Amino acid sequence: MAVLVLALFVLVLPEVYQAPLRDALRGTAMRPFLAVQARFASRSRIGDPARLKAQRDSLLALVGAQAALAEENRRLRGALGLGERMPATFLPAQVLRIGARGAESTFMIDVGADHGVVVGGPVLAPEGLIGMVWGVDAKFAQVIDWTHPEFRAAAMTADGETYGLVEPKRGRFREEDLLVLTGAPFHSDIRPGTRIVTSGRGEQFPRGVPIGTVTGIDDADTGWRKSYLVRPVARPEGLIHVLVGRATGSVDLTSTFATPVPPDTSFPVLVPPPPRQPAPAPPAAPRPDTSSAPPATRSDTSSASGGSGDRP
Amino acid sequence: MSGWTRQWTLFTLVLLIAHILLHVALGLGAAAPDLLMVAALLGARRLPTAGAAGLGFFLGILADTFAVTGFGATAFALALVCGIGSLSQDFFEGESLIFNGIYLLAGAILATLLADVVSGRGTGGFLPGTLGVFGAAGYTALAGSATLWVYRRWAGLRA
Repeated sequence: MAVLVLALFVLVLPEVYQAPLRDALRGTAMRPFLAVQARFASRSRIGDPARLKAQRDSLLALVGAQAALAEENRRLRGALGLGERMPATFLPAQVLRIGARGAESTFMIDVGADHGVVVGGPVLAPEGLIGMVWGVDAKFAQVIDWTHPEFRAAAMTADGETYGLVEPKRGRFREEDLLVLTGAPFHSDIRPGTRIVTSGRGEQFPRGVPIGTVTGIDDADTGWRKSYLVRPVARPEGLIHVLVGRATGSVDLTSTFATPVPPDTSFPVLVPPPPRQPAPAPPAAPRPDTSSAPPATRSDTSSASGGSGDRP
Repeated sequence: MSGWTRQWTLFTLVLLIAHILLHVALGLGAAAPDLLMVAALLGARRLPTAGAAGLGFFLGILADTFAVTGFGATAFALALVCGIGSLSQDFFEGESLIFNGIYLLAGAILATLLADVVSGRGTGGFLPGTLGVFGAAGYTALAGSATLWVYRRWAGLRA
């Protein structure tokens, strides 16, 4: 009976008291086994050089682009007389899979507090956001990917028109897991195919990291807000290497990921259409496909009416 | 420590290390059987109730080391199920592999469901969740029966 009471006590302990016990077990009893996997993984994965090279090249491109941006940012801030901003450097890490119960939707990485990894740091795949650091010990860190129920990320459409919060939506099977953009205003009309990126709000994740693509409406609370289904750009199953942010902070990685604004949400009314050589229709006449085309995007209407939401 | 106790302790340690090797060092996940549960459930039939619950708690805490949410859920579930398993000695006598297989199957289903309920960890939809729990429990029972057979051969040769 005493053992059951003790077990129940451990179960209901707040996370802040459970963490030291868990960290102690990981740092002692489990560390040799994690080290074995790190060594084993680094050897066995050499057997797939094409895949490894592709991921390495993608990550190198990201790091390289970020370095150029950082240099430019430093130069501009120096020219403006501004001080150095908190750097958000990324370091590559190897993914270690844990097959234990309760560790679903998580993975370990072979860098930890000794390398500057902090809890809450962003974890990026070559395609975009994959998760965040959940726990850190000296040599290893645990990451939750976007399929974990605790995962949340401040997000926006690529054109910055609509903001919200991205959270996972479990499918019947793991392969059907998706993301949901919640908290979007009810009058928002995000069309399928619109790209969703991190907004940088709350300074949890850098701004402009691709998250996914809207596939449709998930739910619409009467008169208040809408939720949109988002198909993520990066899936955690086949990951071998990731980039881990050593600090959280407001950094803009839009240019790093080269996320162009899709044409359907890129302020089309502000850009004059190119002149056409032949003029088959009178200027005042509507375009022939207007009747069959879908209704105007929110950016169309909002731009025409002077914007909406937090835009002036 | 008697010879039998020493042998059984060694058997439990081998199962424990094999489980961590398969699940943590090799990261095999569901492809590897839950040998921690096998060790806890088989040990529970040979220990007094308090000892069985303590064994379940210890092995459950180890199993929960990498759990992000619901830390302690497996420890609670295994402590309870191992306690019940120890009490079952008074009601069911049997050492055959079939009896132990059924006992392992029932214990694994009960412990898994209990851990999922108290931790709030979902297992997806109803059908995949049910298939997952029963499939994993069946796999555990099969693996447990096989390891018990190996243990008996080994113990018989040593005795």
